[in-house]
Amino acid sequence: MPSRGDIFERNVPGTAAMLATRCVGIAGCGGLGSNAAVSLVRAGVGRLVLVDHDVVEPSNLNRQHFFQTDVGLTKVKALAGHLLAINPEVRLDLHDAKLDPAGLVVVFQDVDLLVEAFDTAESKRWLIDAWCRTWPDRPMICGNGLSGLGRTEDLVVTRVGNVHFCGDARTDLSMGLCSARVAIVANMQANVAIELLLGRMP
Amino acid sequence: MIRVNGQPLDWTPGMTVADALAKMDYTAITLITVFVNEVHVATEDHEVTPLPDGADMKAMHLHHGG
Repeated sequence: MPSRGDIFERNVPGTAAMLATRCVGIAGCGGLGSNAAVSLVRAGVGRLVLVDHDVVEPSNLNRQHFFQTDVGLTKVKALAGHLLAINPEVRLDLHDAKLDPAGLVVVFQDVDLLVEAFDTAESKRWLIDAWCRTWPDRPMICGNGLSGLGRTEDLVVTRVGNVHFCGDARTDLSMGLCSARVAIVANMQANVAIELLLGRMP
Repeated sequence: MIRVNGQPLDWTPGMTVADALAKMDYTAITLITVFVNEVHVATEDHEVTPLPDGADMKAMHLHHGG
């Protein structure tokens, strides 16, 4: 079994050790959340709090980090298996539950920041409301506009206060979803999270 | 004068976040989240949050997909 040192040998020097002490909350483990979680674990983040109430369906396999053998499992359980297969030492808090404002305060109490990875705009809005009301000084990273094809140049990070929006702020789920574009936005979220966790973002 | 998403908008005393959204014709309120001078304003507070003259308001339109 490779050691933690072996896994992170090629990471940016000094970062994995620092990230090992950090904790990230992920609200939703679909296209954004599952892909962001994988990148955060590969970067060396030591603990993740995963919340989702869905089970893996065949239609998820076009963009979410799941496999045929995951179909029918809860997303948090399936994703946990994949994350532990990358780094068996990562600490995972799993919540197979539908998140609401009251639950948010409990499950994300001690995370350093939140990755918002919900499906619907209405859900994103209440989550931003609840997060900013509860922890106005704690960063939140939202996915906003990741549908359709191509137009990589439209995908940007926009920071307003302590909320970072990743995406094109234009495209909608009704346009259909392409794995590459969803994964780019998920990894933009992970990249912002890593910068924030390392204190490297102005 | 205030700015909403970078666009100038005439300011009047007592003007609220909800007033500014209406003047900008941002009607899909359930899909918008608002910040004033970098501070988030909860949806339930839009109608009671006054905008100071010179405010920089950002109304972020949220899109389905995750």
